[in-house]
Order: sequence, then C-alpha cells, then structure tokens
Amino acid sequence: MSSIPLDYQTLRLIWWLLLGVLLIGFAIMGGRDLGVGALLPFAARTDDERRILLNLVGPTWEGNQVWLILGGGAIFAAFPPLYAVSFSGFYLAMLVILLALILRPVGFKFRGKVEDLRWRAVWDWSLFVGGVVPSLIMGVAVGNVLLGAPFHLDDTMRIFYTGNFLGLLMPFALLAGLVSVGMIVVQGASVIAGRTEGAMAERARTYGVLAALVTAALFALAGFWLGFLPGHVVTSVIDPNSPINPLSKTVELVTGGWLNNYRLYPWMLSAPIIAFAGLAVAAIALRGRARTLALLGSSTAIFGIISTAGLSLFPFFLPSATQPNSGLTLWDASSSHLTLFIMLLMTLLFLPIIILYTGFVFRVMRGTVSTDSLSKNPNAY
Amino acid sequence: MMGLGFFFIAFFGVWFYRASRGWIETNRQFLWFSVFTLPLPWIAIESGWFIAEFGRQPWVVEGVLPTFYAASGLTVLDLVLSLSFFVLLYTALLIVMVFLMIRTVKAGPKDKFLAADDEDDFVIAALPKNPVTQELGS
Repeated sequence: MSSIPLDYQTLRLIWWLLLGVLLIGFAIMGGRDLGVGALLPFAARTDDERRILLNLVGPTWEGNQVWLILGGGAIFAAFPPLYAVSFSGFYLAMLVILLALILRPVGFKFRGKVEDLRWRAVWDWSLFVGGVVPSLIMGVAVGNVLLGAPFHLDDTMRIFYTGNFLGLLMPFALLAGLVSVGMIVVQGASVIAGRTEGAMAERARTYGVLAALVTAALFALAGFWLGFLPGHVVTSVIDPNSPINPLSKTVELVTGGWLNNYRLYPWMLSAPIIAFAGLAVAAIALRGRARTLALLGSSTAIFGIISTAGLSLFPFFLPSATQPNSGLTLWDASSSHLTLFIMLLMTLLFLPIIILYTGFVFRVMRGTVSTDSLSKNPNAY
Repeated sequence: MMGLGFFFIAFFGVWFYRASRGWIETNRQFLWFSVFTLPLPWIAIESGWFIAEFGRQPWVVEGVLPTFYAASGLTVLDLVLSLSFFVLLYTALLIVMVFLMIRTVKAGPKDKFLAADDEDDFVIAALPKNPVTQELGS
C-alpha cells in the first residue's frame, strides 16, 4: 500500500471531518426546509401565506435533502461497521424518520391540487410532521450515541443489538432531540424572516428569537448534564494505523468523560462558544430585522452545536453501553486504506461541483416571495 | 424477464414508427393493448430481483460471506412493524393519488387548459383526428 500518498491515519481523520461536514451540511441546508415545515402551521395563518412558504423552499428542498443521503452514503462507504450497527440497531427510529420524510414530497405536491381548506390543512400538518419528527429523532439519536448504544460484537465481528425503540427515549436523549428541533426552528424562522414580508415575517421573527433563546438554554443544560454522565475513554494505546478491529482496545467509563477532550485540547471549547455566539447573533439579527445576518447566525449555531457533539465524542462514533470495548471509533471502524483514498479523490472531484450548482440554484431562486410573485408564476405550488 | 426486455425494445420501435407517422389515435385496440402493458416493467424488475436473489444463495458475497452470517439481528416484530408501516402509508398515498388522477381525468383537458386561450396553442388537444389527410389537404 505504499502507492497511496496519504497514510491511513490521516485519511481516517479526513473522513471523520468529511462526515462532520456532510452532516452539518444536511442540518444547515435541509434544516431550512425542515424548519419552515415545523413553522408552517404557526408562522403562516392564511392559505396565501402558506403557499408563500411552500414556494419559498419548494424549488430547493429536494436538493437539500440529498445531503442526508450523502451523509448516509459516506457512513456506508467510509465507516461500514458504524453503518451496520447504527442502521440495524436504530432500525425503527430510522424507519420513523423515513416515514416522516415521505410525507414531505406528497405534502408539497398534493396540497395545491384541491381547493379545499380541510384538504390543504391535512397536507400542512403532514409537512409539519415531516419537519419536526426527523429533526427530533435525529437529535434523540445523537443523545443516545452520547449515552452509548446497547450493542456488542462477538469475536467474528457479528453485531448483537439488545435495545429497542422505546429504550431510545431516555431523558437526556429527549433533551438532545429538543436542542435539535430548536436549532432547526431557528433556521426555518431565519429563512422565513429573510425572504417574506409583512405579518408572517414578524411572526417568524418572534418564533425565531424564542427558539434561539430556548435552544441556547437547552444546549447549556445538555452540556451541564453531560458532566455527570459516564463518558467512554480508551485506556489502551491507540494505534491510528491499526487494521479494522473494534475489539482490539479497552474502554473505561468515566463520569464526565465526554468533557475530557475539552480539558486536553482547550481549543475545542471554540465549538460550544461558536454555537452560543451563533444563536445570540441569530436572535439579535432577527429582532433587528437583519435578514442575511440572521440566517448566517443560525447556520453558524448549527455548525457549532453539531461540532460540539462530534468533538465531545472524539474519537468515538458509537460507544457501546453494554460492552464498552465494542464501541466504534474512527481508528478501528473505517474502511480500508485504499477505499478511503479512492473515495477522497471522488469527493474532491464532486463536492465542489455539487456546491457550485447548488450555489447557482440558490442564486437563481433568491429574493423575497410574495402573493404577487405567486400569481405571476403558473408553476407555483 | 429477457423476453420482456426484447418486447419493450420492439414495442418502443413500433410506437416510435406510429408516432412519427402521426398514427397515435388511429387504432383503438392497439391503444388498449398499450394500456395493459403498463405492469410489464414491474414484472420484469421483480423477476430479475428473484433471479439475482435466488441465484446467489447461499452467499451474499460469493465464496466470502454466507447469507446467514450477513443477516442483521432484527426481530420478527421489527420487520412486521416496518412492513406494515410501509404498506399502510403507501396504500393511503395510493388512494389519494388515484382520487387525484380520477379528478384530473374527469376535469378533462378543456376546462383546465383551454378556458380563454386560442385553442391552437394547446398542441396535443389540437392534433387533427387524421393527420395524414390533413397534410394532403393543406
């Protein structure tokens, strides 16, 4: 394998970062549409207002959702053991996310087909469910990762998951879910406030400021709580170039162990600081009617919050609650050296292309959406 | 599956020829026949799936990973729940879609597209019944 110009350790770290980039990308881009869906029945009161919101995200939401698929695909290709354990273990949770996401395309496409207010209300609420439920469950999933998942591996790497769906709904995990819903609502409110006029924009500002404050409080509470939870610490020597074998390490549970990284590497504290700063900027900008700044602040907050979760867990992806030595880290649950390298080349080629055309689409679709612009467009939802 | 594949190519060829000659609405039986070919692609896909899945048993990866070893640890309840959710949701959506389709078909093209505009603007509705004579006439 001397022909690969980057060593295994570096590639594993790059892919850990890339996975973060993709998940943050989904939360920021897909969060716009999930957030608008979550606010749809509240920020928009009349049929015209709801149509404005649908047309606000209608042309771009499908593209944004691809970040989620990209994230899932990256886990599959770069960290197969993580994919296997999480997708089988969290099976029913994933299913609920999927069913909620299925309600979104039909909500967008079916709503305008019949001019009946009850018909439209049904699809408004399915878009609401399609916005809130995935945000909540993805947050709950992150909370469960911090608590450790009930799984272990036998010596032939077979996976045994011993939990169930209801077991995921632990208090700390639900708190993480609320943080996730909160940050998504701030994002949705910033989009609405940024691209609409009048009463609806004002309502979105109110909800956005409220959500930003609540999210900051819940995020702080989660950090405080984390100090009392058992964190997983690898006690054996880590060889970052070792072959793929999660069982080759020993792991101990230490109360507050998830905060160890911040003691060892104080620069990592910048992640939670960025999260709080982003929420503060979003709240102030929403109050001060600074349109672009609000979205920037809220996107920064999402970056900070997800980075905080990732850095707290580092080097773990998915710790095991029932048999800590089975926990998956980026050093022992990755693909082969060659796979990681080939996929990095592909990513370096295609990610800029995706970013370019996405940027182009958003440039074309920029500007405010109003009742006037809807009546001029025969293709409006 | 293979037979259907060749049939699709031939069927496409026949339709391409008929469409380019303008014979779209000339043969009622052939139009009905075309409607009933709609499920065939699904049959082809399913039989292809069966062949691939049965054909590779007992391996997931030939010679490397046996099927029993690759299966996940999901319980029967997990599978029953997920399958039921999918069946229920998709059946509900199918009912909604059939309702919308029937509604659209009943509304017809005229009400929707030809209300005030010049009728010639709507190309398909304005296609003459027998384009061949039309061409000769003009």
